[in-house]
Amino acid sequence: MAELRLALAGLREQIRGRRSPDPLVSAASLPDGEDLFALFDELRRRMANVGMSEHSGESDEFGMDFDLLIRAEPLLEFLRERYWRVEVSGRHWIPERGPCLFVANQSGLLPYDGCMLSHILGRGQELAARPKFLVGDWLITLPFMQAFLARIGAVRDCSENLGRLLSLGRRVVAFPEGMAGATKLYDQRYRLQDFGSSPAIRVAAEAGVPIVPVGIVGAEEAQPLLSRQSGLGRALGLPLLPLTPTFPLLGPLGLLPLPSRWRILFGEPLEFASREGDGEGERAGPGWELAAGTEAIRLRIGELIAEGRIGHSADPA
Amino acid sequence: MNQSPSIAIVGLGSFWGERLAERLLARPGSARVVGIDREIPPGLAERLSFRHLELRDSAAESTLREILVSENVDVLIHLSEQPPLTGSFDADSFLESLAFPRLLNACAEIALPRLVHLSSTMAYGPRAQNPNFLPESHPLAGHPREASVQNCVASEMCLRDWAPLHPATEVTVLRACWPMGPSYFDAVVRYFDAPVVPTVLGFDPLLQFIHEEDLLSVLERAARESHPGTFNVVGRGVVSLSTLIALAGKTRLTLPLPLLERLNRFRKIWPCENEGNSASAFYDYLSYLWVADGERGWLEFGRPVYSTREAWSAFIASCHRGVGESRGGRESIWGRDLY
Repeated sequence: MAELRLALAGLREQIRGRRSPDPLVSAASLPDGEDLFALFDELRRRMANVGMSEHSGESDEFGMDFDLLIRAEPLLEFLRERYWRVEVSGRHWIPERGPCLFVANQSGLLPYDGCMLSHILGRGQELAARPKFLVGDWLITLPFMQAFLARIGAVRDCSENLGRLLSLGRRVVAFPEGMAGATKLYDQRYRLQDFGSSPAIRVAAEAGVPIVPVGIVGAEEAQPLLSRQSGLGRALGLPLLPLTPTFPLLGPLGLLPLPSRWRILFGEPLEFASREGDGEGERAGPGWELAAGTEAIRLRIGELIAEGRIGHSADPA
Repeated sequence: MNQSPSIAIVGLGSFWGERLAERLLARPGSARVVGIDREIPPGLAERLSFRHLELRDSAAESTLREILVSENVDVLIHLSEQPPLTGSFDADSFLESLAFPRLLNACAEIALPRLVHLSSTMAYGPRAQNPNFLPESHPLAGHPREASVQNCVASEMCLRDWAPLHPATEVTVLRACWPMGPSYFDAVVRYFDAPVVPTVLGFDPLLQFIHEEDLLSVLERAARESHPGTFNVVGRGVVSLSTLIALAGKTRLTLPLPLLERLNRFRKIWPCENEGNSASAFYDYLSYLWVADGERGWLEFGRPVYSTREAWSAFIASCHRGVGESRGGRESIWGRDLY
């Protein structure tokens, strides 16, 4: 490596000697005879950084791209503070440390809510500890979506992934309503769908981690869905073709969210009692507990949403 | 089992076979090594006992049994399976699919104490529904359009059915991810060797590699010691494809999948006859976010020395030295291996 650098330096000296003093170049806006080569080197170094910074490769094992998140920080902050003016209440319910599962209501097709919630929870902490958010198969297996969502910290919603994250001590945001929640129409907004399809709560209960109910209000207005064209969407290879006030009218721009006001409400964590004897005979008991617990979480999220929609005083910032 | 077991390597001429034999012979108080292949690699003849075998012959079963008995073999290491994505003829893969049951039959008849089989994590199959980290217990879906991957799955299935019926034989299955290193070469390495690397539009998978030395160490330990079970043999860490290409200073050519398949007709990434098939199968492996979970393997065989990123660097460094061109295609037990 050192030899290479020496050889390069020698080569540059040679070229520099050979270069005829060009009046045009010296007349150009190079301040006090700044070396064109130094400028070139600097430029190349910067260009290399531009090229590499995107892929310097600092990512975690689920593909979250730290550099991208660092660069996206100002944008996320802008969205939080100015665009959606997010108010947070019940912050004291967020567990200080250790793995936990945040369960929230899903709103809108694109996971702006998951991204924002994970940003808010991860603010002021190291990036590696930023909570992951789970995204359903119907979205994250699409081309482009998969590559992009993984880089901003999304993980495919399946029990293996969630179990692994929780056992690593990570905090995870889940939206157990799944596709039904994401594709409900605007007039059904904030109507909580069934939690049955998602294994998230079961896995968290088995791992014995606290489950924090979260109500997100305002995200539905950011991405209102007027109609869903399943047939047309399937013809295009998508799960459905959404019709919103702006999409497909404005093209891809129509997928940008509207500037609604958001409230995020955290509720009291619910902890499933860790089962002592994990014998086969006791399966019936915990099963019922799980169903009841799931229902309790669902009701609690419903209450939080209702609270948020009425308008509730937020935590002092 | 006596002090120095007799280790038979089926597929001695393959990249792994030759190096594994070298390693086993280099150890003091070394085991007796029996090399079994179609022809002997140069430089090994006088140090091990070599036996000729053509597993595609219908008589291979009795020949192998005779070899195993006369050499008093304790451990059989099966390395002769074609690495996936060699894009062989259908007839070839059919012949190959018959070879492994023959080998198992011969092992059963002499109640072989230990069998080690090298498989590939490609057997899990590229599916969008895979969880990010696949444990060994994950079902093997294979790839419906790629005969060499299907053979790999078929062999494992065969072994899975066979093992409980023959409790005398201890079975180790090693599922290795893509090997990388200064001298290893196969279809996957050939793909990454090019200055312009075509990738699938809209996908950026996370990949994992195992350094060739680490895989050899695992093979050596599996040969010398008892490690029953199935293990993923992978390097630490994952790196996204785009990062790998950027680290290597290569150009990434991102195209939609149909165009990539068309492109392949002009630029021969796949040297074999039905390369179109293998190429499209390979791009499926470059689409989805999944890797194998190496935790069990690391507990059993110790942590690998090289991470995925380091294995990749070793490969890139060898490219710059021009090793890539000299990595040869040698004749192996299957004749048309890329090794």
